[in-house]
Amino acid sequence: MGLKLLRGETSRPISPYCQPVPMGMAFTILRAGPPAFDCLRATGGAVDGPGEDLRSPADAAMDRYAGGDDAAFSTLYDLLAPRLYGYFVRQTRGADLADDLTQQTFIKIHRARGQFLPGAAVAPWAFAIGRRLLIDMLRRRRREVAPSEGEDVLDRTASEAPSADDLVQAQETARRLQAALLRLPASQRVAFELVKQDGLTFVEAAEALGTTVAAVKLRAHRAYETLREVVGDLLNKEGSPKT
Amino acid sequence: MKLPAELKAHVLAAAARESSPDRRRVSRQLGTAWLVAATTTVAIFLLVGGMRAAERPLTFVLGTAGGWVGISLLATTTSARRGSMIGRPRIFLLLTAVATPVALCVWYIAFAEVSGHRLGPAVPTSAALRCAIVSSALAAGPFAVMMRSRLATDPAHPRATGASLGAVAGAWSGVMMDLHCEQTDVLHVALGHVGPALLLALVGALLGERLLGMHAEA
Repeated sequence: MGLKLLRGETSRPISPYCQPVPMGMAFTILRAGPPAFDCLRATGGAVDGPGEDLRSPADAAMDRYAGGDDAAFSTLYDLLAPRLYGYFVRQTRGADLADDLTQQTFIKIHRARGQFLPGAAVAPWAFAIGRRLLIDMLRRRRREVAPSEGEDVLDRTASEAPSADDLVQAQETARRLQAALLRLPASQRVAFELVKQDGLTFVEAAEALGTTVAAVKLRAHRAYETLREVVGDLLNKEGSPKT
Repeated sequence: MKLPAELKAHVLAAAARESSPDRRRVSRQLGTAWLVAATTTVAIFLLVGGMRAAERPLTFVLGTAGGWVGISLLATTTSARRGSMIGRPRIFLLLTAVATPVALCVWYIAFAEVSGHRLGPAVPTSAALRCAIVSSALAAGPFAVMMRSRLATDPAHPRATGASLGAVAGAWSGVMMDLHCEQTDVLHVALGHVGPALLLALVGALLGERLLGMHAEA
């Protein structure tokens, strides 16, 4: 099959071929273009459906929790933790740090619950907290995050591949994309990941990053264009795409 | 990627170990704090003499104070009112912190010019210092409560938030000083009535990171 699926139909549900690949980026970028990135979301395990379907229950759960319903914290965790954890894993390439940061983020939310504004969106706030904690922790440990070399936590999600060749090729593509993503300026990479992988809207990502919507759009678009060029180069090396 | 199964249990257990006030309790606490702050501020204002037009025409007093109320309201809306949990963009907050004191001065001079009121002669710096102290005292309570209301909730730009809150508190105390102090010398107004807004913005910026920020624990 090789990269046929990359150039092929946009069938749903997302091909299982998509799953074994870290980040799953190549497929989505080529297939769907900027607005979709469904495969990315699915591979990240963060969102099971459209972002809006998930965000509203999280906001409602946070509102209930802020209002004194302690049980809503568990619901909030179920709705937010996968996305936050995925974000931390991608940023740190380490499950231990991701565990710690996820826990700290939820404790911060817990402590500040009484100050949560009625009707406010919890996801941008949670991601902004997570980002702050991540920066603090990385500064503290003075550790440069290195590109993953095959032992990425994301690889743990790998399941049955259609064939060894397909898997190797797809992993190679994804690895190069991952490397390209890591080479992007931090501002572009974070904007891209928040919007395309964590399912935040541009408005939410802008809030989380403390910048404007226009800036987030520009950064994410530039990141997307860079990654598309990388995928295009890879395809050209493999031969002309089939239509 | 899969979440570690035990992580949720850890998070819930950690949250259960640490009590946190819900929204109703926080609202009560803040309501009480606002009441105390407002009472203290009004008491200080009355103790130092309250509103005194003295030799200033009432229209001039109301005009300058009215304009300052407008500027303070605008600053409050653009920065002190959050809108979302992240608050306003950093640039808004920094602009508020810097532009509010400038706008207060500009309005004062412009209104005097337009209304034909001749600004007063220079007064000793000690008078400006007295006004600055009184103005800072008037702003202290509201500033403290505003900082308390944002305690450990700003992950994005706590310094800018602190600065804007200081400027807002200082602007409102400037309004009271304008109603109280009969001096109309521009330098006196800038140092004694408007200066504290800039000073509190600086204090807010310095305290913001520590008080408003959300930092990783060791």
